[in-house]
Amino acid sequence: MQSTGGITSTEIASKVPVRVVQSGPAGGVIGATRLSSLINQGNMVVGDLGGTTFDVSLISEGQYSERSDVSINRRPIMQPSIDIVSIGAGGGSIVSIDEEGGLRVGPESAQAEPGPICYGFGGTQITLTDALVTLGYFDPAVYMGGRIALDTNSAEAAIKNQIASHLGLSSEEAASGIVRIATTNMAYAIRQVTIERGFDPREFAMLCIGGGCGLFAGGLLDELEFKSVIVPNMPAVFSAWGLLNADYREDVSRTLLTALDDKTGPLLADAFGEMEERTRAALATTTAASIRIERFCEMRYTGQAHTIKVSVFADEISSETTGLAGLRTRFEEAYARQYRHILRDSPVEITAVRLAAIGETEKPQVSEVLARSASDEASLIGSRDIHFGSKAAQLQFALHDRARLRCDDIIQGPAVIEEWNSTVVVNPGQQATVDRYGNLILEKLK
Amino acid sequence: MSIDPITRQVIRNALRAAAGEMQTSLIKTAHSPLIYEVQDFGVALTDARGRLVGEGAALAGFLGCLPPTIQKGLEVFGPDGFEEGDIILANEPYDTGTHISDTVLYMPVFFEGRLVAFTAIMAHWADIGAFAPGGWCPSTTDVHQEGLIFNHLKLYDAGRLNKEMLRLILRNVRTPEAVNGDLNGLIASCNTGAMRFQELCRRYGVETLNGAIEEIFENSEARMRREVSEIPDGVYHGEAYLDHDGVERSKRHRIAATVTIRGSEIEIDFDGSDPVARGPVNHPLVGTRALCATVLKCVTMPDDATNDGHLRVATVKAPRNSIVSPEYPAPCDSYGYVAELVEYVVLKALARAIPHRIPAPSYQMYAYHLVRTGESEHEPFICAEPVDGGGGAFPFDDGPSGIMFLGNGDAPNSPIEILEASYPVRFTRYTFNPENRGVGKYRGGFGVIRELMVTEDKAYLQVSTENNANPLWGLAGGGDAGRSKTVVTFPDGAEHTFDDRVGDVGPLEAGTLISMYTANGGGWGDPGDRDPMRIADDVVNGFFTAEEAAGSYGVDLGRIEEALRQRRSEMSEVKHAR
Repeated sequence: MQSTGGITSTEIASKVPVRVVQSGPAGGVIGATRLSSLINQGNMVVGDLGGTTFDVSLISEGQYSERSDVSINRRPIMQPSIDIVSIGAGGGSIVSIDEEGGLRVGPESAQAEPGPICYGFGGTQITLTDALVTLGYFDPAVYMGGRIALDTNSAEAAIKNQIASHLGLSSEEAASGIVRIATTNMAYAIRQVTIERGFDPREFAMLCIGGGCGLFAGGLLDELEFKSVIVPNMPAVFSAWGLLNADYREDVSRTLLTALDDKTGPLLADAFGEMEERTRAALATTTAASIRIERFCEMRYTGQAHTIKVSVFADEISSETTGLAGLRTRFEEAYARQYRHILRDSPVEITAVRLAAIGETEKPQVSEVLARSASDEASLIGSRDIHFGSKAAQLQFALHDRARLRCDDIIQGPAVIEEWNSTVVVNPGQQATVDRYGNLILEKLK
Repeated sequence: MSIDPITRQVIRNALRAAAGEMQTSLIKTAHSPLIYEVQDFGVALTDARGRLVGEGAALAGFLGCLPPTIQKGLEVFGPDGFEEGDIILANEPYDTGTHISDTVLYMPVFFEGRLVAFTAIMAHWADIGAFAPGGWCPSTTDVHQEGLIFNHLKLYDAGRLNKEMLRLILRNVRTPEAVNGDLNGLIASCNTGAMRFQELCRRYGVETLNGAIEEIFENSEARMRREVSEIPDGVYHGEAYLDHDGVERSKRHRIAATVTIRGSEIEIDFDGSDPVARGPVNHPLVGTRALCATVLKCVTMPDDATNDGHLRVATVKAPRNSIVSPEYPAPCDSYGYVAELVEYVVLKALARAIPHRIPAPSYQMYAYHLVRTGESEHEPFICAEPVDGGGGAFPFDDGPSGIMFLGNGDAPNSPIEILEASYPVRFTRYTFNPENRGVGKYRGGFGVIRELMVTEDKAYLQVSTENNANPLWGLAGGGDAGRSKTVVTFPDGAEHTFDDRVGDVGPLEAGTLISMYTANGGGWGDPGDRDPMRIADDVVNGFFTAEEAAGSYGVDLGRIEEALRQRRSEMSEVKHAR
């Protein structure tokens, strides 16, 4: 998997390894794009919460957004990549009190080794997971399908000694505070990402993926102005499913500095023609069933430094010049969304052309969930007492088995919906509806 | 009222996020590259008394300037003199701390009819109507030559635009579209911050919010005082000299600071600094105070978002009407050279107290303008950029090579491809400048050589630089920082070297070569103590020969050659392993 979300051969990847630096989080975004078209939800913020990072990306009108460079450890990498922003928040995020008496969650992580205290692998630093355990979000006996026996007592004792006693709080209040700070940090990051890219979170749904994100589904829905929060089936392995949906992809770009006028058409036709030939040849050795070509120009108002990537359609690059007015219109639409104004009469120029050749692969089938019939077992399997809210008072959450949910089931919060590798929390005042693919759609009650 | 620590922390993070959103919003909506590219601005969220609660630090030095500007506004209008929808402009340097081009736009924030906060931005305007386009006049002698002065004027009065004032502004700047566009961006950004603050009021109530803010201040101040009390008590001194002020070219102005540490108290006194300069290098006291706070925070607790608690720890004094406390009508437009020295003299003084925590100075400012305006037969252009140089050595490592000077923060340089595509220039060289200065146990970073050829006629060159006759120092026995210079080679082969700042060299003909050499940073520690392996690395990298290094570091040539043999054999092992 390359940073662009397209797959390539191991041969190419080993020759140009720089292309795969963002390989990890890219799978989730490709999966989200597929899901977006399946459920007809064009605008989504994708939040991927694992052990160490919270990766945020955007899908707008069914398309994920890309950028032409990424920054890794503060070093610029001039390779196209899916636009993903990471913050240091995850189940393994380390909790501490800073020199000013403020409670901090992350950005450092306890990683998988030694991991949270409650895993009993030798971790001594409190993590977000330890706070969740202390509050009662998990059944210690069946965590990860019983693969890890949680040591609740050690987690709680550490929170009490290292955090709660310093802040004059009970260990549950401190644990609840840790979860609250983690949730608001994620919310601020999401807000920054959406606004920075010129989008309004109110027009978006949020997709929670990764092992940990379901736990914060209710919290993020309360904190932000999303229409809904969606938790797909098996969110912990959603990225792997996403990878199965990826196409082959070859990207090329070339500097082409030219004004947008009647001489531009033939220049574009030449450049794109040559690039198309090269990328088609590179894809010829793959198993791709068919090849689709996408063309883009990097454009800006003459004299500016920042460029915006604008799609070029096949019928615009014949040697004729008729189609180029559309290019300017699309540039200005994108410019207005990013910067909230346009420079009406200023000349526009192209600085580079980019082309992506996409070798389409066969996609996995997605099975549907049937509606409930009389013989189906009820999903409610019990209840769980969780210390909830800023006072950390005990509140009874209904406990549902996700495997027993059926299409159109509605679960009222407060509820916990469990499957073997993830937990979804529906807060009071919210409800979760199951759609035909088994996704949980959380919404606030009016 | 005591606020629960969790809510306090959520509010602390929310205020930081709000200021961050203001910063993002400004970068997205500004029209001039000085704002969206170079990020020559600072963003602040303050409480109703003008005390800093949230920062968007593009330029750290601006942060400490915004609270006093708002506090001055509170004096001018009175605490009841603001209405919802007011937007005020202020740029009189003695109020705002830098120069006229850095205009402050601020907005009172109301919640349920009550003044609860201010949002404010100091940003460099694309033009302010000074005699030099874009500001940064090199030789003004009073503030009125430096552009339009706004002494706390309401551009919007209770939501109503003062159209006549806007017309006046736009008619008096050279780039009205950029200025108008930037104004709208600044207002959008202030609105964003205001909206977030109002949300917090709604969510937590004004009393809880203010209570939390007060506690955040107290905790930050307490921590900084703890850090200050770790510094040994004593009286420490630092001083520096300018090459000249742009007008009196033979006078070396002195900037001096005495830092007194007593327990958790710190006083910085600029007594001994020269009286106000005739040229525009004067640095207003508001800015001097802000930079002292910046330095103190860098040294004690660099990672934290800044608030009033950090700004209130140091007491800063200066004699009246000095080069670091000029009064009306002293010129201030190229204040930046002294700004650098204000920070460095305080650092120099602190280095006597805590030598192992203070890096040596980097190169002083170096920037050029290549300009063609007012030429009827040629298209006008303004090609301007700061040039990277050498960073000062750390007490534990060599200084970074090819970075921005201190006051310019993280400002990026411009890609050569873009400059060549945009202006009639062709770059012929861009490389490190390993001048043999800034030596030490740890050496200063290298400056750069940036060389371009002008490809059309009638351009003029201006260079802004300082401290080449009086270079900055090394620390703990390290060598002084280097000297920047500019060499112009005319098409007929004649060559002229400029050691200081120059204005209006030209008209240059096509084929003129401009070679810019920026200085090395200062060194740290006795050069004789330098690890021969570090010297060997510099030799392997081709910065100088073993013989040159032996001479300038005073290290035995045999030891260097031995280190070189060792390094070369390691390198060949690596090669074979592959």
